Amino acid sequence: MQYLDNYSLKKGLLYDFSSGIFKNQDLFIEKGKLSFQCEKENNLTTHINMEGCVVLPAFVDLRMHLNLPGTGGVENLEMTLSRATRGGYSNVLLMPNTAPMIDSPASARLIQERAKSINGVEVLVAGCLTVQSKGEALSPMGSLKEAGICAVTDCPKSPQNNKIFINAVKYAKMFDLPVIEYPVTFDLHENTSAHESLQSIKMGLRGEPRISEELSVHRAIAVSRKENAKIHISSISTSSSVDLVRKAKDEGIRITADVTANHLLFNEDAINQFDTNAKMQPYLKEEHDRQSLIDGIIDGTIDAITSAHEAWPIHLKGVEFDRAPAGSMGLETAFHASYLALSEKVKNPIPLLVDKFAIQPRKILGLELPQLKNNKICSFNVISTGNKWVFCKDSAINGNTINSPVFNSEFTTSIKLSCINGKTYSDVLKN
Amino acid sequence: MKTPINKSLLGLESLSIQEIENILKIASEFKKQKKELLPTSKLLAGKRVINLFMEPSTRTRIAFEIATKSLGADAISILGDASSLTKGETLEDTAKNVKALGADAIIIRHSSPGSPLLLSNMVELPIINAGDGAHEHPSQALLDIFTLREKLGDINGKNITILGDILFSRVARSNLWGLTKLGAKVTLAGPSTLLPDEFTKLGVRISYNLENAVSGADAIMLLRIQHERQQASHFPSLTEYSKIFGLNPIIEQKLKKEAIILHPGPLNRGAEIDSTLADSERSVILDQVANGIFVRMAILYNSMKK
Repeated sequence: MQYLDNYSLKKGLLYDFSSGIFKNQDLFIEKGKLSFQCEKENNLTTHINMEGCVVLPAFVDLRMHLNLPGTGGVENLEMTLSRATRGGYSNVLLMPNTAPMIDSPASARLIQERAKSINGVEVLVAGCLTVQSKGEALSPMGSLKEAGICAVTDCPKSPQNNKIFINAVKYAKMFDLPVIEYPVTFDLHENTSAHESLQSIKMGLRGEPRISEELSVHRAIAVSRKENAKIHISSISTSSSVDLVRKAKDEGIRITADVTANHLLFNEDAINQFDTNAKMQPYLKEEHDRQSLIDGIIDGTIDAITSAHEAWPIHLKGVEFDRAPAGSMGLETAFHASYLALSEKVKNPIPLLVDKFAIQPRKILGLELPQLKNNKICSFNVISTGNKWVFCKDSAINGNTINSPVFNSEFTTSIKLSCINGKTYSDVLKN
Repeated sequence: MKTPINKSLLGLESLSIQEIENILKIASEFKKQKKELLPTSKLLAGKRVINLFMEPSTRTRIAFEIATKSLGADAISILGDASSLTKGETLEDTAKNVKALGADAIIIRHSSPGSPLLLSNMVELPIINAGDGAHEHPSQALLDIFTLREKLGDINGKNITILGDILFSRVARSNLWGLTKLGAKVTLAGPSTLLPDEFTKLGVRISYNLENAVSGADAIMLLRIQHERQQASHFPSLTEYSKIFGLNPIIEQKLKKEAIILHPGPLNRGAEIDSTLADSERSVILDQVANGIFVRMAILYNSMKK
């Protein structure tokens, strides 16, 4: 990747962040600041033809994992954030299951300080909802908020004790902290390694019944209704979950939900050769579930699409299926995978994707909506549509973590250039 | 896939009817040659077969060892509790070391479904699945089918009931694939907690009623109830299981006169089968064990011949 300072972007199709419509617009960047007109165009070092490209607000990811700093050998922060930059993100929400876990102001500050030293993508931190995400005692949410966290969650766990969950939601509301609930019922999930279906039965894998997720979605909706509290449900994956969220929204309950990009593109067939790269959290479901998830994106039931990025090294993933950790990479490919999946039903998925990757995640976290303004430092992506490319080992960063089911997939969208908080990254100059 | 899939035996789901028939035909030849005292002992002379048994097994491992030696090859067993896997070595490293030690084929028994496939992607050797979790146990199913044919003739159209812990049984799955491919009418029976409805999508009938499941059967294949693992959450007690699903002299009166009883072992006498029935004329359990050698010889020969 190369860093650009002064350049022009000509003939691109700009998504107007305020009106929501696309228009032709030239853009000029000088010392990281944007302008719509440039008198001294010749002073700019680089001119890039943006014909056939769209300019979109930079993305926000609502779920990514980093097994740092204590577990080692997985992926360092720099590497993960490089992936985020390549994926078009300006902000990523880090789940609290780091080592140490983010359940104290000290650990919240530690990770933010480390992230600050790395240029580019801003790391937003989610704190634990309960201490050590054990579901037994409320985390110090007030102090965590002071220490800079912007949401609370036990993802990829969920407090199993209903009283604790209700009180956690009540308590978080006092601080206006978004609660993100990862829907899972432990006693149905433990010792399983795939979704319970004909497929898992044929493979001899212990299956997690779909109601493991759905019971938890039910509970989140009931608690949201009771407490009139906002709850965001992370990574829903079954058709019934989509129906439950749709119905709750119709009733005016303050529920939002997201889905992972990999769940839009893949169904459980991806594991039929015991491919551990397709073992993710939650487990991949059946084709009718995948279709419902896409429908949920189209009709607005599902608010956002996440990467659910979780990198594992080859020596941990390249083992027996039931012993391999769940989780897949996604930061570099979430947008492209989603575009491919939505293209099955929508002629031009770009407006939907802007909403799910840039607008709604910011609304859920209470962040300012992105604006492109003259003489301002901005964050945006230039996306090319129609150029086919294959995501392979060589095109990813760090060949030691390749736990992605999309390896060797062909995509039709690519990020030609990303401007993140005024700094511009591009692969285009290589060519 | 580094090793051509037809050299490995990973399961019966992926095998064609012709491939199944081929192994059974070779097994039949070996059995005939044994009777006629013809030499088979040089067919795999100089070859080395490693039994990588990461899970306890008595009859499968011994049958494979005898089969290997009967063909003139070396048989070496590595048992889970005595191997480096318990010291944290990965399956991949164990497999590569085994190959470096000069193995010509690996027979694997492992608690993780899919581990033989994983192994076949790691080393360029024929891999023979001797049971992988609840996934497949192809050599057992082939010897069951071999025995069924010996006793019943052509099994096309015959009613075969598989009874017991279906959910956790690799024997049930491999038999289901093999028997349905050869045209048998399969009924799966057992407690509803161990017999998911989804099985009906695989072209078999399911029944939760013992009498209904066994009365029209030409053969009843019993499965071992792994009560130590499933008792608490899947059925109340072994006594209740035995009462509702155990094959006893009372239910025997409902069986067809010529119906036979199979069991892959080890038996829980008094639980899934009454002791008198296990030793009765109907029981072909020891024929299964004896046939297991010829079928495993056929599997090894088929995978390792030039």
